[in-house]
Amino acid sequence: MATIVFWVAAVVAVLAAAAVFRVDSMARATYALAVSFIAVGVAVLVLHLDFIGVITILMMVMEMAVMAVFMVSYMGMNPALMPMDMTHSKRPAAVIAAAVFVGLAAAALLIPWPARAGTAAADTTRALGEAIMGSKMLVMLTISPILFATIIAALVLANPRGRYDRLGDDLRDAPADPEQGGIGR
Amino acid sequence: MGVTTDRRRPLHVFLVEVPGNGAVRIALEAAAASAGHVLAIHPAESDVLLVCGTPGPEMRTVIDRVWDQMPYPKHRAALTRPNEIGTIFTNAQDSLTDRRAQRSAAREDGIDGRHLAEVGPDHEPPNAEHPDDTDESMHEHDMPTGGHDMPMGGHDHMSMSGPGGYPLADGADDRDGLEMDVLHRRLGPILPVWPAGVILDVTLAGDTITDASASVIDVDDHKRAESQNEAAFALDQAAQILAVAGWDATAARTLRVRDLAVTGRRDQARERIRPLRRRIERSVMLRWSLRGLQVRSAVDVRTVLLTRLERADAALNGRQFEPEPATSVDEIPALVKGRDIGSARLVVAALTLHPSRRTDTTDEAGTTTRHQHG
Amino acid sequence: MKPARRHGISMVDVGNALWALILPGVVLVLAILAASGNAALAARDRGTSVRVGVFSPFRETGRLLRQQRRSVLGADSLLWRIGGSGLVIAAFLAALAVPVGAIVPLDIPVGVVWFNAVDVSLWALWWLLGWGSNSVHPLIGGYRFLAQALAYEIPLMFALTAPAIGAQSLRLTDVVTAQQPIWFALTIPVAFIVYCASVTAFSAWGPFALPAGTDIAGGVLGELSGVDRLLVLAGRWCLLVAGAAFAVPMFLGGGAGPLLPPALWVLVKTCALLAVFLLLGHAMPAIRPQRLAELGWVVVLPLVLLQLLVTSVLAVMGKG
Repeated sequence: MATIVFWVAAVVAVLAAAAVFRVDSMARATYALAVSFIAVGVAVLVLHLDFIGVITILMMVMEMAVMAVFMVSYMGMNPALMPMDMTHSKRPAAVIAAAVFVGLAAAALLIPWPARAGTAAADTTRALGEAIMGSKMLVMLTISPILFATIIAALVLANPRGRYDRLGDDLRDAPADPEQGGIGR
Repeated sequence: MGVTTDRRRPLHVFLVEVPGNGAVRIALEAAAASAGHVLAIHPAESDVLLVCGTPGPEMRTVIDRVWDQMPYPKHRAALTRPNEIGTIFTNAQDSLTDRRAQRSAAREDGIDGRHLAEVGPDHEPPNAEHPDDTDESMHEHDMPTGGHDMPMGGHDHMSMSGPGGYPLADGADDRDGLEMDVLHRRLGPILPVWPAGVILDVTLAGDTITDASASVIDVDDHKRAESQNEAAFALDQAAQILAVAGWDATAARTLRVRDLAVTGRRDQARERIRPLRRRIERSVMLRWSLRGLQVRSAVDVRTVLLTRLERADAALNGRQFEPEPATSVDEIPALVKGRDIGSARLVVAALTLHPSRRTDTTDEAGTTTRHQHG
Repeated sequence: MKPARRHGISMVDVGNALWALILPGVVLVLAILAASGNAALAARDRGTSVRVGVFSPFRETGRLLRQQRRSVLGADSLLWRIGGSGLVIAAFLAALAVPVGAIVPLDIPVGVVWFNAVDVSLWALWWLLGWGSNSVHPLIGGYRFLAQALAYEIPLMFALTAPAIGAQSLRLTDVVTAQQPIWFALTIPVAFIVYCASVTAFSAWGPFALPAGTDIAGGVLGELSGVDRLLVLAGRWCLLVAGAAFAVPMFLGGGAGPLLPPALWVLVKTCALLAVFLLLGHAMPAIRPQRLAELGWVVVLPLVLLQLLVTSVLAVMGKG
């Protein structure tokens, strides 16, 4: 049963990824990519890595939803539903893609992977986390709020209007925004 | 097949008001509500198209276009006087339940529509006059009993133009300096909760209005607005603001009081209007949601709403009241430029528009003068 | 402890499979009840017959099934219809994770994250519904939903982790057992309130109904007719039901309660929460989405984070 699900997910992932370059529309390309990522998430679920699988699906759907909005906004000459060709340097790309595929497939099939010693851990997610991050767990935990703060700070810095534009020279006036915010800051 | 027996089905009624027929529309809404029918806010969801008044030539074209956008089964009627209301709903229901006639009409329309779709898009100007802001709709020729779809026409001539044969939008900077697609759209003359006959041609960047110009449809054909039940009119206007603001519960209550005033039960209306006004005044969420929408100097949308309710209260109790100063249609663009569509709709709902191009101003002595614009 | 397996399939598995099959029906029935209740409240406000209002969802379903479908030139029909029909499916998927007494159709160790994944997919679905129609008003409606979603999504994600921290597990059955003495709705109130508000927001209902608002001619519902319209209207109600149902194991103690069997308690609590949604949401004015962003990020998010801090400290103290 798990094998069938895995193979179906694998085929769907590859076909959907190919569809990204065949469809006529940025929105359809984005959602074909989303389907591909969901199939990868399902394959990860088959490996009993529940948390990783569901989180992959969650993050990828959210990212594709946001990406679709940006694609539609920014692709000026190639908007939705127009025939378009997103591929460049077709021949070198095909050669490289084929070489990488052959290489990875050979590695996956020919490397003598070690047999499992003992039984699988009860909580595979925890075991995977400890294997990957191990003693650096605290560092990883601290980094994520720092990343979040960096993103917010970058947005604030990128805004062409600064605090003085909004609040006046002594930062005392009511904010002068074209659209008033909810709490009047 | 044939005529089915259930005649008490609630209808979704799409009302079109020809300017000057406000009293007929209000009476019709009251009758529809008491019969259990629902007022539709888009032709796509409606069964019946009812036109209040006699439309002028431009209006007739627009109404025909709205009629084309309605899906089958559908029915169309017009009335000019309140006393014609009696049989209108039963006639509509009879017509809608006559499946054979509806199906053959749908079939005829389907054939015409396919022909039109093949010819159509290249001949339509990109800023075509669409009521209610929808693009041309194709009817999928679908039997009401869930049969097959026949997608119609128009896939071949898409070489340089965009999807559906329409040209793509150009880009321009919007209010925040981002380049966004520029859409030219026409709001009105037929739009839910919209002053009758007003056309607002807007240039949209996203949902923000960057440019606007207003006009009135069939401007030569306007009669002077008839004398109306002042309380009902004020309540109707208050309900319009509430409906556009999205507070359906209170809009429904206001309409209920209006219906009581229209059908002569003024004492019941008098009982209900004070608590209603208090509730709206006390609502903190409404105050927060409507903040920052100036209509005139020192007057914002919420103030207009409360004043309209006071006026209705005064009219019901026989007191004197100040009529709301009317605005000319030409003043609308200045009020809506730079706002998003929702805020623009609120501001327009808070105005009383004079059917011709006049604005009332009140000078310091308190006398109201009427200025005629060319 | 799972009962012993005989012949490879146990009674519990059969029960789970059966429940998974009838779950869409149960959700739809509750959705129709919620729609009836809403229509009754609306009829009471309008002064029309409440009896007609109560039966209006049935009549409306019949009317929409009889109505012709329509399309718009240049609309991306594939994506548009996926957006429309996906709402109901998302609701079913979200409700699948709710444990009903002993029956847990989807007993994955990460039930909380499952719900989060489903509510994130709603971003995609509502946007597709708005954008796919190639028409201005639905497009504005779709983007209004995104504006709302930006305000509620992060607080919702944190609010969903609060019960998980309290129960030290992401599995829903563990969250239910951790509420034995006292419900999380009482010990993590901020998260509960944020969760309830987010449920009405992702159903585009009540105070957050402007993506389908009258001021944009029906918004995302605008160009729809016939069975497409029925799917979206059903989807909205089903999402509200699924959200209310998921609150039961997360905040309201699951099937715990005297006298009645746990499955029935789950149903009773879902209906009670739905009734609360109806009564409160029906009476509130709609919030314009542009005013929500500041509120969501500057006020609500810090509050939710503080709540998480309190819950975490209590969890660590209780454990150690």
